[in-house]
Amino acid sequence: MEEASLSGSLLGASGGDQADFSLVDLVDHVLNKGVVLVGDATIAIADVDLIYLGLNILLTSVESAREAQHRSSSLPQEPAR
Amino acid sequence: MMYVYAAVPAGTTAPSETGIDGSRVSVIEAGGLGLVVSDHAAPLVPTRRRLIEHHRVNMALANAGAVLPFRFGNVFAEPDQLLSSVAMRRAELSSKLQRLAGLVELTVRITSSGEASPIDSHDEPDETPGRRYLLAKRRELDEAGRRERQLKLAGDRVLAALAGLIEDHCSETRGRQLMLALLLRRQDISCARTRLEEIENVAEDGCAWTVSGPWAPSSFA
Repeated sequence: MEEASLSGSLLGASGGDQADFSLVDLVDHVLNKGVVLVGDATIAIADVDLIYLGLNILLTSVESAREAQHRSSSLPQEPAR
Repeated sequence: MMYVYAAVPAGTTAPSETGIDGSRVSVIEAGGLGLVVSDHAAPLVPTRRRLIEHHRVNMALANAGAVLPFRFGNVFAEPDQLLSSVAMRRAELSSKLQRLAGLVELTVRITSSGEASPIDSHDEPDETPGRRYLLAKRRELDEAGRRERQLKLAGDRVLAALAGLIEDHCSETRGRQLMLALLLRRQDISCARTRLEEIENVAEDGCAWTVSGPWAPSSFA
């Protein structure tokens, strides 16, 4: 699990107020909220639609999820019966 | 492909921030709205860096004026597709944008203390396994009710402390957490944080809080 702290200086660079939040907060606001114009906006990682995932489940970083996807896709496939 | 960050009032200039993957951000006009976009060769897979880049563009816009933030991942193969999608929802988008002008979001995440009773509790060894299970389940439900009341009280205390500062709020319970999204004027952020720190220092409800933001007002988009 990872809940990365992102530095205020990095994220608050464009504004006068200090920004203070974690990766979970970032995912919540940027991936889970906001206007969706088209159905194509559904975001999927490892063939799972994130929009339909509770954020309590998404406690790893997106990059970690992608790495996990890459690892699982490189595993030998079980032979068909 | 055209990636969309946000809607802004027509005539808004593009932010100086670079967009996702270092792309140039521009504003195109559609139906009386400005759409903040960047060009990309393919749909964008979300990564932490890209989420931050999306957020930074929207915060630059929020700090400059009105912004209606879009969720990460709104991508259009052709500009015409984007323009027709916006045209269908122009009135709704314009109304929301007008409402959010000058406002940003703070999020308070309140976490209830204490753990629920374990379901396999052995407090009553003389009971049958089925009865023991049901008693444990009842304790678990009682605990969940206690947590819910605890979170509501803490949430009400936050809202009371910020009376006069917040324009709107919405909340969502997720297990042991209450997510409270607060809509307020940009210039009131420091004051709101100070008030939150003051009541947090005297909190007696056993809840832990974290305050994040400011955000572009995505919970109200």
